Amino acid sequence: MRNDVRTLRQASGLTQEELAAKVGVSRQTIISIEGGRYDPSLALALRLAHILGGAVEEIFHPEEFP
Amino acid sequence: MITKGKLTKRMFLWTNILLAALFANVLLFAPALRMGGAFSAGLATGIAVGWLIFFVAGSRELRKPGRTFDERTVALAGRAASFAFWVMILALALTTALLRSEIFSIAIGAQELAGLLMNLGVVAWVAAWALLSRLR
Repeated sequence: MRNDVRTLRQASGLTQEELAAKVGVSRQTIISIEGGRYDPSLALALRLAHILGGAVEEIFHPEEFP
Repeated sequence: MITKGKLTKRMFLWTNILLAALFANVLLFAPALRMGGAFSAGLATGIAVGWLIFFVAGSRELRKPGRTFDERTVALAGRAASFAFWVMILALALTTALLRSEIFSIAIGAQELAGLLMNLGVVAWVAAWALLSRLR
């Protein structure tokens, strides 16, 4: 799923490691989410949205809803 | 062990006790069951290595929750297990047919076949894990 996690993370001045620690996942999971290879669960998407300061629907863009 | 992304101290302790019991059982009962020295040593080593990996990964997870077993890891483990299951079903179906065939007339003992299938399952799971973790 396409998403703006990388852009928002960089705008927040966070490293992948720091974001991973804040939302409680591994750095590899953040890498996979940013690369669009892994779709996070709703709980993780909400945590990411909370940390990155946006709504889930503003950060994640499913192909069916461009 | 690998649950929905949350390893508790209690779960870690009980899994270690279970693995210790498995290891002790092999050491205690392998000679009585006369399974052969090489097989018993291989089995004990396999369990010990698995136990060590779980202990190290589990200790790391307890120190930093979510860093070793997170939801992606759980998803990968599930997919790898599903892949290994179908590989084993396929292997069982093929060996069942081949062993019944009078043309091939393959002769393999039950103990070798069971060992081969078990190893195939473990290898399929590890290979699927390694491949999926690169792709996803």
